[in-house]
Amino acid sequence: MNRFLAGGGDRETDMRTPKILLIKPPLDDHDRPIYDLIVPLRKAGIDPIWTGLQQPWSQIVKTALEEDADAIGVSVHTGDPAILLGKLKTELERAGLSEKILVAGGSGEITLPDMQAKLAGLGYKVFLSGDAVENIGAYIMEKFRENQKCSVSITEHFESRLSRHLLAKHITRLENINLTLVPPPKKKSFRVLLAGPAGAGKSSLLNKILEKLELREIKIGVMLCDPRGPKEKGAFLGDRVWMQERTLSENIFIRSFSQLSNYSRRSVNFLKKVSDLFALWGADITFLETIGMGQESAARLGELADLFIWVALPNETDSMRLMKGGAHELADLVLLNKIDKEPSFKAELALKQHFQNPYFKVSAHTGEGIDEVCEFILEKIKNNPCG
Amino acid sequence: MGKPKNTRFETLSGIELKTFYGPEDLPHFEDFSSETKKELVEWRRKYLGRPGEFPYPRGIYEEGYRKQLPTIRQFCGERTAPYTNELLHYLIGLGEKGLSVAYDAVTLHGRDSDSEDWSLGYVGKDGVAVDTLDDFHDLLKGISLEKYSLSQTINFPAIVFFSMYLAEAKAQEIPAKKLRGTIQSDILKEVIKQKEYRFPLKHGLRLMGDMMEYSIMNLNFGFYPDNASGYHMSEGGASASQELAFTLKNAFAFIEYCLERGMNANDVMGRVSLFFNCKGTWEDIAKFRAARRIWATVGKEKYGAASYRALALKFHVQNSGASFRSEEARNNIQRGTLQCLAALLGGAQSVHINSWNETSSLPTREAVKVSVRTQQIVGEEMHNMDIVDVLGGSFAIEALTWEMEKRATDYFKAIDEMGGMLKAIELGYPQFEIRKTSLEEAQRMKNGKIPVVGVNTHSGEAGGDSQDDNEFRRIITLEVHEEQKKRLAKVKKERDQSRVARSLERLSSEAKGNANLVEPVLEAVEARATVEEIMIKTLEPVFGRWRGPGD
Ligand SMILES: Nc1nc2c(ncn2[C@@H]2O[C@H](COP(=O)(O)OP(=O)(O)O)[C@@H](O)[C@H]2O)c(=O)[nH]1
Ligand SMILES: [Mg+2]
Repeated sequence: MNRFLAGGGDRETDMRTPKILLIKPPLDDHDRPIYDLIVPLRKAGIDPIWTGLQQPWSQIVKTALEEDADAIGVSVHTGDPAILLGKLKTELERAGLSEKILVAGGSGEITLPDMQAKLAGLGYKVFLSGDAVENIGAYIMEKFRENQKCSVSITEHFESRLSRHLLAKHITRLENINLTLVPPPKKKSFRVLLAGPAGAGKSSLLNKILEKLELREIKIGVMLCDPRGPKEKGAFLGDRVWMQERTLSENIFIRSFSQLSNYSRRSVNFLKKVSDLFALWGADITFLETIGMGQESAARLGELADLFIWVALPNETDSMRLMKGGAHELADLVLLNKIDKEPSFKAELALKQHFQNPYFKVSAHTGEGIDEVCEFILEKIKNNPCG
Repeated sequence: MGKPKNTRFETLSGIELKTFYGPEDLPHFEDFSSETKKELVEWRRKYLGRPGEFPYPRGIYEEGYRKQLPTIRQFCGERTAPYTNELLHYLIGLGEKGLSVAYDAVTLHGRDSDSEDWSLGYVGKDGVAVDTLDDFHDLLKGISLEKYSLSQTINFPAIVFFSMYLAEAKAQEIPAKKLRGTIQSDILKEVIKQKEYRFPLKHGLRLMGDMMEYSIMNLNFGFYPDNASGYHMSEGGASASQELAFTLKNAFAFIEYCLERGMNANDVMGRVSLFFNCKGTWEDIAKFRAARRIWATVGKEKYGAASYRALALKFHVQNSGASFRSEEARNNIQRGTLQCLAALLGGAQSVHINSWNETSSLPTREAVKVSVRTQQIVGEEMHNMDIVDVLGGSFAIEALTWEMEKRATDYFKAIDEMGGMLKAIELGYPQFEIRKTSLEEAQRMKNGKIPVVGVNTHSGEAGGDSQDDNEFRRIITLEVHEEQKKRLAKVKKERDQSRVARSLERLSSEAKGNANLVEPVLEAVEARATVEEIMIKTLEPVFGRWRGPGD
């Protein structure tokens, strides 16, 4: 069957900031410059994504494909810059990603004038330690605006079965314009939502859960949401780093999204549509890691979830807190995380008193309890009417 | 090079030099009352001691450098093994007594040259490419392992290169007891700074421990299976006291691990050496002196070591590569000279001085020669090294030495409170402390509070020579890569495949147990298994991939 994404309405300006994927070539361990770049890029209104260190090209390119970032930034401190950056360029083209804004920087050989000329020839704009960081942001913003002007195709038809590449592209189109999937997919993917305060261990737990599930023959879509700041516009999309060992799996597709601090109707609809696209790619499950949450009401998130998991810390979970209102009321399941270092008796008593649904004691560090969580999820899917 | 026996040590103008000096040597010493004299001598004994006297702040040898100057040990390696072999012979021709091999990034990460998803652009680039024992053999062609001590900077796949070294010694028919050298193998500092690690800490330590245990049983003192290194932390922004504290703590953590495995403190401590950075400051000299004192004191009091071998700390020094600049690059020669002087004033056992033009490409032979000559000039030309610990007793240096020691022990306390060094590393404590310092330093550099001549001060005053003066020498990586792939393909084709498979199976099954892994790795190495086959394909599935905080 043919489907299409049909468009209309305004461009959703608040949903779209340019994304840059920051990478290090496979054997280059000098990651400090990456950390020096993140906040200045956010200040420029750009969402940086960081892949993590020591990844082979195949993994880097798979990430680039799934994230479909507008720009790719490479930091080169060892190795032959021309060969490394040439390789990246070739691999990106082969993956159908030839339109990226390419920037590079580093020390050593990349600073030599003839090398810079070579890299310019390959299409990289080179920035060196002497250049102001602001220039990088300004350059990307300028290129991004140019590219945005010419990409306005509204309706696009496609086969019901999406390839990894098309899935990524269509998500980007959804980010650009408010589109509707026609007709909606019959088979949805089961949506598991992970919520909880920042630092509770959502990303780390998701990593462990994926590690178990990737061994089974199921396809999994993952949406990772990180917040934009109240002051700086860009969001640091850093959750990937916690699950970098998972990004190689052919059965997993991971995409990062920046979010305003609250879940608006529009952004919830957007995330729903993304999970529909995941279903067309073949995903049986979609995991959604939300931005860290506290007591704000997030009722709409409930609509998103077939299974709502609340990740809590034993030390921060007690009767007083559970009696107050909050997003935890939506939970179908609570995971008490970090039990390798926090005693859970107080939290358990509170849960028994004030929470009707099940909870598990888990640790993303030791892996304790993760098998049970996976079984629980798989059981839910089996009994899921929409599946 | 030492001086012949019975040499009269004197200044250029003929003033006779004593080995070392103390308050007694001042002319007005005699003016003091006998009470004061006694106290002064007592003070010297208690807080300074003599060179060669426990706890060795003044150096580990009574005669200092009079008998033997530090080993000149230039870090060297590029392209393929035969090419680096030529370079090593060149260095020997310049008067080097110790060899130090630099491996390429592919090798350091435990990958093979034909593993292109990883290796493209790195083969033979910042060091020599070694995939199998055949490469290692070519690397050392014509170099007797009995005559030259060999230092290998290798870390993550250290056990493979330790085994290659043993296999090569066997091939040269040199008894293991006669081997001298060092293998860096310090995996803890990899987690803290350099990032060339893959296994969880306990498995990394096990491999180090296996090499130590094997060395104790089969090799003599003089071979160091662990060289705990602070250089990379320091280059990555650690302060002198952080470098001192974390390096010592890493070494101590390893020593404690070995003791737990039942090894003896004298055996172990006598086989661990350290590796420090030198930026050419008084602080560096204080750091070296404090390191010796802490090592000896902790070794004796905490680990119960008693032998001189164990308590007298030996260390290698490399000057700060980060201090070298591509602007007016020839000024790096002066920087290197002063850094070399500081290393010798601090009592280093072996030294490497970077070559002035290696900031953005490999050094030329000419520049390597300048580095070797620098060390020879500092060591020999002015007779300055005939006085042992010439700075000892300087109020400034002694005060700084105590301050270094205090700061290091403060860190020790913080780390112990956290539950020890391994725990601290798992939590990211040293990593984040260093990052904090390096941020502050970057800020000060930006404000010009740290002057760098020709860069943020006195730059362009006389027009400057920018980079024109600098002759770039680069490796044509793709050509080297093709050549190395051919070498590897040949080995893979000619080796006995079933022997390789058998040896790797044995390794895998012994890795699951508690056996010492040197023998099985040696067997695999001799069967011509590659570095990647051993480390990544066989050991990683058993040990697992682990990443520290923030990696
Ligand atoms: N001790 C311990 N630390 C954990 C555990 N799970 C996560 N952490 C740590 O908690 C911090 C926050 O984890 P992260 O997954 O980023 O939390 P998120 O913000 O909820 O996604 C990180 O430093 C993790 O290493 C656990 O089970 N035990
Ligand atoms: Mg997270």
